[in-house]
Amino acid sequence: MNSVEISLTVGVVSTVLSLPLAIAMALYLERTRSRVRHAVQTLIMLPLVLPPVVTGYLLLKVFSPIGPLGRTLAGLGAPVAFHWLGAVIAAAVVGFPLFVLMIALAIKAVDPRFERVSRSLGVSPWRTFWRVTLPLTWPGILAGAAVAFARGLGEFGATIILAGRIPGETQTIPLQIYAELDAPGGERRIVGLVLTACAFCLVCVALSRILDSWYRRRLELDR
Amino acid sequence: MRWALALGFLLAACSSDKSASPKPADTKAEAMPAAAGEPVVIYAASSLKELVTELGDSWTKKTGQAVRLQFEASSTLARQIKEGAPADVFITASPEWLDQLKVIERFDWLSNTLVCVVRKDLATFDLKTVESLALANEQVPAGKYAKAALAHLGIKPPERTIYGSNVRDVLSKVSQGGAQAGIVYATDAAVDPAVRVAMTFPEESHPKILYSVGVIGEKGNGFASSLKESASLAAATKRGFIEIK
Repeated sequence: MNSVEISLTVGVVSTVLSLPLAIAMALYLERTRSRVRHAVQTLIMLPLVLPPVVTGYLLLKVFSPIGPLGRTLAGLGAPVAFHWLGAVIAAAVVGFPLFVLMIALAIKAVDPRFERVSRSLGVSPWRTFWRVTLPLTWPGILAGAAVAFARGLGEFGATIILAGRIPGETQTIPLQIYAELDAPGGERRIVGLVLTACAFCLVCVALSRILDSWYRRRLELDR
Repeated sequence: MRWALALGFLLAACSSDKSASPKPADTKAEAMPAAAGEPVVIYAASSLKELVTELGDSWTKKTGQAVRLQFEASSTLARQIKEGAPADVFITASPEWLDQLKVIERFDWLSNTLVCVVRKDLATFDLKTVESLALANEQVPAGKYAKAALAHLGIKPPERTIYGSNVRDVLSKVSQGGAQAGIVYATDAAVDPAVRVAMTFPEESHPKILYSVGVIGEKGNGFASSLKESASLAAATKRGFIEIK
């Protein structure tokens, strides 16, 4: 796999893996009155502001190949640190706050009375989610996914600490650019990669923007 | 207000740093330490971290001139200097990185040995069948020597090769468990208690490891020539570096 393919697969897998968790977390933050939720929200937002190398270091401490968890995972055939899965987890963790924020905004835009009516008619919370909340919020969720994906594509700090630079396995676009930039004449070799990264991110952000304004119009919030 | 003043001072200091052009008439600078206020800026290869820190400390003690140290891969430092980083002395682990720079003076200083390290808890080891290997980036001197040594011994690097941005990064990849083995200098292996030397590469398997000193700015003359003194060389050999004849 070249670095573009690695970046894309890492981005897609990390986004898909964190999707259910991000939805659940956004629902919890928006639809519960629990006091703990402020603490939870603070904790979740941490990777957004924490230096990515710190996030990477903490993840490496958790998944260290010489630690108990790392050994167990490697034994199960799913090693994380210094493996492809590490790049996925780094991207997922760093993109998670943006993902949750975007979905929470989408949920906030839905009148909670719809859900309450559904519940009062005896519909289970699970079914209410599938039949009421999700149909009203999915464009917002997709908008969040596009942003989380873009953030994952750009992940560098946590990735180089947790996954390292292994060409063909964990060397994503930013890691290759970083390595090439250290060699004289490398600037010429990275033009394509830089343009690719810019193009991907532009598409993601534009897509997110379009989805966002579309669902807002749909909910008649823009008027 | 105070903050703005401090910022102003910083900016002034930076700009005067850059504009300090070498004065050609000052040939005695070698013997005379520069003004104590201006630190001499030393850029050195990562593998020299402990040694040059020690030599910098004794230089400051002796002359009162402060030193500012920067350790990175020689290739990275060379690029930074080329782009205008204010280094007075540049010590590279491979002389080729001095070729592209304008230097006042240059000389070959020390040599080193190339070794393969593994974590202490790894009992058996064979470089030919190793699962994962940590190497320095190809343009980094340690990476260049390692690549040459592997090619000379006819060993193909394993599919899982993890690259470090400098030789100390390679070392930490091994001690963190990122790779079974890593190729570093003997002096690096000595500073990390988590690893042991599994094999030493024969001298003829790679280009001679040569640390070269280049004086980039006049301010660096004094420190650079102090490196040739017997006390400095003794400190180096004590840490495992090799004096060149």
